[in-house]
Amino acid sequence: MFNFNISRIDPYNFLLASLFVLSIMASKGVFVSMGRVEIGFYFLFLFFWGIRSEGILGPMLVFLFGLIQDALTGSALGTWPLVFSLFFALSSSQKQIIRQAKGGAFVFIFLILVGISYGLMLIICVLFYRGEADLWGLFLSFSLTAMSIPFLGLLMQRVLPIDGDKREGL
Amino acid sequence: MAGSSGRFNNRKTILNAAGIALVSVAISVLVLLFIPKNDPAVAQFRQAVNQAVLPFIRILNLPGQAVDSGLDRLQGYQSLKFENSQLKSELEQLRDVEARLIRQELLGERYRQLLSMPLDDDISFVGARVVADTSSAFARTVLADVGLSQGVLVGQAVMGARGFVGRVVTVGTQTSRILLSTDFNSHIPVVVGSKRARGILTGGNDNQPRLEFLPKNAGVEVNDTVLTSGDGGQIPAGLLVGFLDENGLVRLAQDPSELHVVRIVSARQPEPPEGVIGLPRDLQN
Repeated sequence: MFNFNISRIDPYNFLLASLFVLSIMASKGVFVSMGRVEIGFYFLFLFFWGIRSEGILGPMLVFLFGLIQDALTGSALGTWPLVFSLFFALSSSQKQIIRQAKGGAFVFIFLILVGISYGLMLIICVLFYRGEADLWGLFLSFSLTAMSIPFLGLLMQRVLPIDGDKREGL
Repeated sequence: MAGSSGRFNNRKTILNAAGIALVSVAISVLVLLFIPKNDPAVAQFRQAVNQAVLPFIRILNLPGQAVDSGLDRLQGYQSLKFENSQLKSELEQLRDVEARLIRQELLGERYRQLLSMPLDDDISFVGARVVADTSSAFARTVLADVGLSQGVLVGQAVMGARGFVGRVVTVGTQTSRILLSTDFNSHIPVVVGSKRARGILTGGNDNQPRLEFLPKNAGVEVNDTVLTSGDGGQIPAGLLVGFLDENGLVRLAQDPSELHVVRIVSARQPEPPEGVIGLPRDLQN
């Protein structure tokens, strides 16, 4: 059922994975930090990575990077792996639809996925943090992400070939 | 035939990434449910990750630092003349203040001798740079680039340029995580105003912490100074935290979002009593 061939690594996916990690790290830098509010650039890279990823290494790395994000932010272990993995699973499972989508439809799908991820964060806040979390900050982050990133997504859709069917691995 | 096989293969490969990701989702839920947030092993894992990731964050900070210092320099040149005249007048005022302080110090010393009062705790500082702002919707923490090697210990108070900002919660050899006073898990004993009403400063994961357990007739007023009380012995007394605002919240003296350099305060810990005298044998163990 699962494809364990990780010998061939797609350079585009490697680039997306690197950008994903970079965006997580950059959001922690004190000189670029926006405090409690952040633009979720990592969702953009995760989205394209999810569309293109074929092997098992991608989702495993996403899980690992989620754990690193948990360690960095001091949140309960499992919080960010859950958010990232679900986002990755959704974009990966809907890749056929996403690949055929153009312009507005592409932005719409992306917004739905980001909305689901922030909705999941909200549920985690309520269930696991019992109101400790900064819901207003979460809402602002979602608004900023929803406003700014889809346009970058459209740009990336033009620049990056999103057909990764023949590639395997990362 | 080839087409249908291709479609099947395609379907199979879609299951690969998405399937594994869904397994990850299930594992994440289990981890979230069954691994406690404050487990010591989790704290160790966090510290190890912080230690490993720190060099990368430092590198990523370099362009930001360059822009920041460039802007600072530009602003510095612009306001140099104005600052110079302002500093001259401030210097005059400070000379007066200095003279008054010397008088007060002499007076204080005389009273201390009369009352045989012990001196305040020995306080020393370790300077540190904040290298990562790890705050998120779920927690308010920052990472500093000093750790056990520099004598930093868990529980020590942390000061910004203008006042108290939080305390150290985990320490590695070269890094330490600082829990900001705005974090939900932060509870700092404080005294408020000239009547020194005691309360607990509690964060709420927003910008302003609130005061809890203040006595009903505490007699506190807007703009009263909030200082650390020193209760518990870990955080020294008298560190400026902020000022009480009209909503009963504390306006922090040091804005945690503008934290680039901190001082970690190391105070002499009060020693526990050597022997327990007068207690029944059962309670002595």
